[in-house]
Amino acid sequence: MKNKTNLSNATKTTIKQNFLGYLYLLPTLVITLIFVVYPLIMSFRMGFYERYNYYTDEGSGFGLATFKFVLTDPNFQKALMNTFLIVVIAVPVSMIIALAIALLLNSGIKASKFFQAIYFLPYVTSVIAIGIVWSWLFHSDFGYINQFLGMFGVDPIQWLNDPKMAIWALIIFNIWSGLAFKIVIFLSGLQNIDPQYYKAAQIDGTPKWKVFTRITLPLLSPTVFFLTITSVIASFKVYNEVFALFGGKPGPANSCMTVVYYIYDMFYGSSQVHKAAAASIILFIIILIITGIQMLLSKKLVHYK
Amino acid sequence: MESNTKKVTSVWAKVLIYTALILGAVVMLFPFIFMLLTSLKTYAESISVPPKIFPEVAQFKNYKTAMEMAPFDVYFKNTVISSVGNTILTLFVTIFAAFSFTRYKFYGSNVIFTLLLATMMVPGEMLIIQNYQTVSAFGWIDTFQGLIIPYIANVFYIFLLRQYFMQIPEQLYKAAKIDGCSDWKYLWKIMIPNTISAIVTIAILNFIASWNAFLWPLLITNNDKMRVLTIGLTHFTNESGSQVHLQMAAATIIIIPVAIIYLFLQKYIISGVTRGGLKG
Amino acid sequence: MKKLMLSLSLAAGLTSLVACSSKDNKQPEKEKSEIVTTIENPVTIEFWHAMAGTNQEAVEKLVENFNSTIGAEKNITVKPVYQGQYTDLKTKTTAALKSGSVPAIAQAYPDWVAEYLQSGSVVELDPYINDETVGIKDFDDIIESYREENSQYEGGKFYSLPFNKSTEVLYYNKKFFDENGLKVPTTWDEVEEVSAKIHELTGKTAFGIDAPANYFITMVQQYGGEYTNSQGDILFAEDGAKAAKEALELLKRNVDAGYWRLPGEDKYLSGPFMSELLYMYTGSTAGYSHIATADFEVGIAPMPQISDKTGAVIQQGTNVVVFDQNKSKEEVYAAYEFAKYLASYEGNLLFSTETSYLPIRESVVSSDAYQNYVVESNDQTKIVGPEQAKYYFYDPSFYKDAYSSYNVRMAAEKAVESVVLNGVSPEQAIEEAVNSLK
Repeated sequence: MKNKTNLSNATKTTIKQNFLGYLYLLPTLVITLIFVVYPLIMSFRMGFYERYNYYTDEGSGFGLATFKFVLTDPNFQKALMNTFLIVVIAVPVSMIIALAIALLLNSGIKASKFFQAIYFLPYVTSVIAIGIVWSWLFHSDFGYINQFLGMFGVDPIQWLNDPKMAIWALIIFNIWSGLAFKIVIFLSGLQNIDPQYYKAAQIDGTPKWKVFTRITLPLLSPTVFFLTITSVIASFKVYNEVFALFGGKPGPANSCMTVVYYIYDMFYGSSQVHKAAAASIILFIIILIITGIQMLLSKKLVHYK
Repeated sequence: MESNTKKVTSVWAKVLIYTALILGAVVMLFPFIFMLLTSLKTYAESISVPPKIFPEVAQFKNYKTAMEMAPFDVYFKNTVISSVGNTILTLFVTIFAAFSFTRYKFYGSNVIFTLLLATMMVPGEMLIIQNYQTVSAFGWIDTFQGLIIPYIANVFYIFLLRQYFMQIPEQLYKAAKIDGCSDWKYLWKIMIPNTISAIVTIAILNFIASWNAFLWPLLITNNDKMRVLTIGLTHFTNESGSQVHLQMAAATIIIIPVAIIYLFLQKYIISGVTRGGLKG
Repeated sequence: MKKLMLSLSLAAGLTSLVACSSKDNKQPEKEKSEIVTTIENPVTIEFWHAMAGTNQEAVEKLVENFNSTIGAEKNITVKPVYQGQYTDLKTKTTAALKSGSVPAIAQAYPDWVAEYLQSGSVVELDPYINDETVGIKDFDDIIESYREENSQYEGGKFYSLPFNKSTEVLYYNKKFFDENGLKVPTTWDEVEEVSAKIHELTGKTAFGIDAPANYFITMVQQYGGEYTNSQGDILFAEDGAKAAKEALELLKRNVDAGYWRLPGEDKYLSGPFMSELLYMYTGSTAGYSHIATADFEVGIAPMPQISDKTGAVIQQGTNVVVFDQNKSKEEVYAAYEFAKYLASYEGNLLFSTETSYLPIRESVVSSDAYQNYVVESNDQTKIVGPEQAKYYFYDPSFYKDAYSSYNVRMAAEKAVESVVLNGVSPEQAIEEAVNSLK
């Protein structure tokens, strides 16, 4: 600290900002480096080998051959296709429903706490129970969904047997399974909005839909941004839902293959670890690009105070 | 304060709101009810096709049988220690990191943040074997630090809390500075109290995740005295199927503590409903 | 906090050191002649398994018996450790193999053994089995298919010994068959015939296949073809894939007619069978307990065959494998002793009368103790299963850089499903399966 006097004020601030910034971030960085980045690098490097012995960590045939295999594998292409469908359909639908429910819960009704607890229950329900219930709801003969559709004269749909329908069953299930979490996050986001804004709006006699579009939505945009990014990432990671719905298979005739299912199956099923690694790298790059774009867009669309 | 016409519309609005919420609640609640009912069925009832919703005679003895399948009392104690420990540490790490990203403009902060976000996509199961090697080199097999430490930095929560921290007006910080408030004090006196709903949400989500963690606790424990509740749940399954009725009984018992904690903390998430309400 | 972080980062440095040096520590070539067959100082070894519930109780009994007899005599104590379900056990064993903490003995499917062999830590058991003093004298008493399966690896060496085994049988609704004067089918022609009759009587699906991949593997064999070999050659696609096509055509014909089905949305056929939505199905003997409580009498018959000449029924289950990673020669020998006990008459008799698994020895099947147990427990899978032993075969296990036996199995399953669910022709399904393995 001897040459303190030589430094301009601006430089001093910069040093302080850097020092404190990294100090507060230190625990995260240390843990992440040891338990995420290090194993990540170790597993990524496997993707660059054509052959890999996982037990001795020795690879041979360094190059991009494994990437070529994965990218041309029909199963992986199917997985990308399915993930795309989930991102485009399940994410927005589930966000809109969750926001609607959160707004209703937040509208000042008396039983709000009671309902909120109920909407939270799927979060603590056994995943196995959820899987059984949904396989049953989708059952072609006995499922409530087909019975309901039958009232409108719709013929029984082979939700879980027909490779063309299975992905829709997965999307519906996925919308449902994301709700509890999104509702909780939206609620805590709504909670964070300063009531002053609403009071002001009330005094001005602003119509409700305007209150929603001019106050609620902009002030909720950081939450919406958070949920969009995390839901898109989660869409790539859909695995448990597939497992629960189809009993440990990626759907009839592999029709519900997802990107992470593909990775798991390569890693744990067939132990082709280098292929699992190559697929992970591809996934990592895709997510990085999408997240980067979302971050750029957020600068325009997300409203912080 | 309200005119008569307004009251009428608000009654209709209430009916609509409640109808929608009740319908939604049925959809959300169904698996939970199913879990409870299945836990009271006989084995044959639990696998019948089409499914029977209600058991003929409630089999309360399932609960006793299920609890005898594994040392659930020891598992319970371990699960409490690791979940509570993990949640407390996670909160500290998360708060510090979110504070760092919102308060300080340090070199590379945007890049680090984006990279951290990208690590969220990595399927944890891909890293788990490598982490086992690391933890085993630390000598942490069969220890609580092994159960807790590797999972105390969660980017998901850091990102969430950052979103809330960013909404706290800059003027507050400037005012605090003028009052001679240090950054540390500002964090505790202003930032945290103002985002308590988010912090409680994170605590609940993390507690549940920690409570339900399975593969990691199984990997790093060999000693039954160090194992957790979720490992007990595997005792009901073998390669040709599972004893769903017992599994559901055990699953029901296991989630009771989580449900209690949720109800206890719930008021922090939704306390100011009337405050933030859109009441007409 | 800081102290913790410091120790963490130090430790992280340490791991990378360990990780680097582990490469130089690669296992030296094993000196086969030097096996140890006596233990001076008592050793304790761990046995990792995936047996839960009553199966776990049986494992614990086996361990107790061993520890108090052979173990006490030879200074060996075995400690059983439950490691979750099969997939969890596999993950954990893999992780342990990578970090040098694998147990002396563990349960393993043949597929896994093929993978574990890459680690260089799997012990070749031939020197022990053939040893004059501690060898297995009555080795030929172990059913042939099990001996072949456990020595299918490179050089025909034994890298494992059989432990818990099952096979497939035909389950049928005896009450329904009796009431309608139906004959239990023994050939696939008869299955077709009876299925047609049942369909006529009830309008329901008559017959189901619980494990589609097993159907494909077994039927390729029964139609006189071959599935794969332990080198990983896709034999079912050779010679115009005649047997594979016939197998798929038989299935397609009957599914299209509404006579047969796969589990599909029901996942297992035990549920529909119990609820009388179908009247017979082929499935694992290990699954019998799930239908034993049916409201009607369950009949158990041998797997239908195409002809006696090509008789085939799959046998499945895990074996036990011995590891020598960071182990003394005494510990390796101790593990062998325990494996030997599990495959012995006493061990196997105990295990096959306490669990749903089948005997691995002829002498157990024919013993009075076993026969009496079958009468008492009234579990016919225990008789019908081993009666098919002459037809037992296994699906070969291998691990290659391009694909493993697991991939072939998945490809076979997908082929079956494409034919049944997607209306793909058998030729095309086989072609797609083969292409997916390139």
